[in-house]
Amino acid sequence: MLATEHAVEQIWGVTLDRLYDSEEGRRILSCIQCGTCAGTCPHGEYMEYPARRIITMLKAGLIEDVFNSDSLVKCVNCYACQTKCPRNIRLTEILLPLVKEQSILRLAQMPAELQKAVENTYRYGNPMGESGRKRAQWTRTSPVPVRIFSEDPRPADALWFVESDLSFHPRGQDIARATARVFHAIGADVAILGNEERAAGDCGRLSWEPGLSEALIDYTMSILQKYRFNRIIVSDPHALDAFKYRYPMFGFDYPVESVLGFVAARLDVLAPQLTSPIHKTATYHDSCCLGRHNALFDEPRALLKAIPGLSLVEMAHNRENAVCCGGGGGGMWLDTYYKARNMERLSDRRIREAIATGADVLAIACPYEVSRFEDAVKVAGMDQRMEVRDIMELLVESLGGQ
Amino acid sequence: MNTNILVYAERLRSGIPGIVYELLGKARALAEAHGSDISVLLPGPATEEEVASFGAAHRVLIVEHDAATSPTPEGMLQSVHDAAALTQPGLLLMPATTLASDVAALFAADTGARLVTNCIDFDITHDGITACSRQYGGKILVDVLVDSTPAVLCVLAGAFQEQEGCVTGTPSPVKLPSPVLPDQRMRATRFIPPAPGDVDLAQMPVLLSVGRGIQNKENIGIVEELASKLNGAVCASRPVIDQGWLPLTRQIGRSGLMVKPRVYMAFGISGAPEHVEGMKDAGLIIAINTDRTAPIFNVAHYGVAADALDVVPALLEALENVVQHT
Ligand SMILES: Cc1cc2nc3c(=O)[nH]c(=O)nc-3n(C[C@H](O)[C@H](O)[C@H](O)COP(=O)(O)OP(=O)(O)OC[C@H]3O[C@@H](n4cnc5c(N)ncnc54)[C@H](O)[C@@H]3O)c2cc1C
Ligand code: SF4
Ligand code: SF4
Repeated sequence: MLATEHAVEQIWGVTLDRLYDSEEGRRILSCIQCGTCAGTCPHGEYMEYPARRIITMLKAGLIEDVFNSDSLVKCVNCYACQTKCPRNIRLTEILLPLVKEQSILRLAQMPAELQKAVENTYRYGNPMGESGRKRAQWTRTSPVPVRIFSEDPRPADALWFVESDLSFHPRGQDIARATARVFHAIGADVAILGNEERAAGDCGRLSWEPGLSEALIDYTMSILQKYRFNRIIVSDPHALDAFKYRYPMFGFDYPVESVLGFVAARLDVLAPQLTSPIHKTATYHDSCCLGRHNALFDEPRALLKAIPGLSLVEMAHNRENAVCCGGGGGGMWLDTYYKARNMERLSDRRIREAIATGADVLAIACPYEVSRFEDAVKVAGMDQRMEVRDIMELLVESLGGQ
Repeated sequence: MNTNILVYAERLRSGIPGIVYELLGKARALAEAHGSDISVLLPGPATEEEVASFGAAHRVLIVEHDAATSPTPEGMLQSVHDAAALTQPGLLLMPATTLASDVAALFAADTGARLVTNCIDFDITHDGITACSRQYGGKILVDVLVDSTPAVLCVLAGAFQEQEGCVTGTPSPVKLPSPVLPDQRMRATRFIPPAPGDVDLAQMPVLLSVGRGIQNKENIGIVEELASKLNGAVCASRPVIDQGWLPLTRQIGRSGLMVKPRVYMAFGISGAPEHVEGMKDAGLIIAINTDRTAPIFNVAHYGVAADALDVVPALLEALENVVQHT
């Protein structure tokens, strides 16, 4: 399906003054002021204007007051409000981004860390500011060969979009290598873009840099055209969101799957190879994008249950009710901004729930989480008691061999 | 196109700020690609060591100012005119500091040269000089094409690698006439240092950084003692700050401060990428960690696989002996 220019404008081009021109925008008028959104928001208590009040202010023509507060700078894009709104108002997808963009524009100074990440993404194609020529370096230490399209342009079944954290962060690279090994085990025919890959552009949008996202989307679309493949599989749940919800507005029409969903669908091939037991208890943290936004609740749990010896326990807040790690919506680069406002870091709050389950392992499936939670267990002084492992890493451990 | 480069070496009180070497590093790269001639304008008096530190340039133009004409923008403006007349630059590079930005604006107004402020990058291309400028408090980046020379660029600190410009050599020194300003409208009368807050870590030549390996708040005391003996300051990794052992102003790393001291000692810091991002450009990194495989050893110039709580007292004792012997 090729999105028409009209459709692109419908969502991408929506501005606050044209909000009610679209059906999704008009839905805001059906708000019953129940306050569910404000109550479920993990940063709600720090917001002068949570979603419910934003709607009131918008209707009263007082939206400037909202822009001038920094309430929405505190939105971590966790989809909790949108998921629970009884009127199905697309808060996280439509209303909040528009308000957040204006709020950030009105800040006296852009938070330094966020600014650096955005500038790095603009200059180098990744928020870390690493050289784009080092993007595929992790493949050299992969236990199995990883095919790079530019070196071997034959068609592949799937293009694996690795994204920046898995390419550059040392713990992310561990996950990338584990993922390659799992693909190998299930006989998946995948290739990566290697140094031709740049950030998908989701973080740019979620931290309200629509121009930057557009440039990255244009770039990625032009590279994708060079190669033949049937589907795109994505490691980073934020990039998954970009491909599923943003790219189609620019004419993108490939089927997209998360790595987790792709592997779970091939569990019949994988499970017989999971021979090394892991005698531990794990608890799984639902990533906001995978869980609430894309309903991938059962797949990660099925993968964990397939590991012999591993038992699974749930945290008090799980599945739809999981609490965000605080990294979304640019939160990854706002820790200090939040701390300066005396806000508790969400990863610290979440890790206490994880520890309360008594589990030995916190299983995750999003690359932001590995650094956030590994840091949080240290802050809680529990790093000797609980380890943070990506599901792919646990699968590789159970595959044994290496 | 005229690709000659003139770099304005601002001198604040004493010392030459790092941004000047960043500009020289970039100038060197451009010279390699385009055969540019590089000159530096340095307000005097200049030591031989300072002149030699501009090895990336072909010549150093030194101008002696008296107290009345320096460091005012009007005083510097005359020298910039003199230097430009002598070297005919296609590219005039200024640090984006308060004083240099004034000089740049005055020079551009006088000569009709194009001025781009708050640059974070620039290049010489086929069409002219391209510059990327940070506007509106960093919310917008603007790409600018300057298709006439000279282009005057005010560049923000941190745009380029300082080491690239730190090359010693023998640029030829040239004396410029001192500016003559009969009716100086602006005069510097005194220097007011910023209100004393917490120590300015970015300015400290020696930093002693503590991580979770320091075990508890009380142990930071001996590190502070060591720091005062070395004329340094104590800073920390994020978990130490999070536990309230030191104030937020002491946090080094991605969500804290980026520092480049001459010496950085890391006591019980594992070297997470978020921490390393803030200190990897330090001149000399010494890591003390009980775990030989800690990633901090990948960026350290010297490593000590030992208990920090043994090393700090040992260093204190060693310093004591040094002091007694001298
Ligand atoms: C978004 C984000 C931003 C972040 N920003 C920053 C930041 O700006 N700055 C920052 O520092 N961190 C930051 N972090 C946290 C970072 O990921 C690490 O958690 C943190 O740097 C680890 O601190 P540490 O080295 O003190 O602790 P640990 O990683 O626990 O390391 C302690 C080290 O001490 C050693 N040790 C133990 N006992 C002794 C002893 N007696 N003597 C010597 N060595 C000993 C251990 O072997 C270990 O290597 C950030 C994390 C995230 C997710
Ligand atoms: S998306 Fe999450 S953080 Fe943002 S307003 Fe909704 S509940 Fe709050
Ligand atoms: S949850 Fe939905 S209906 Fe309820 S106040 Fe929020 S936006 Fe309105």
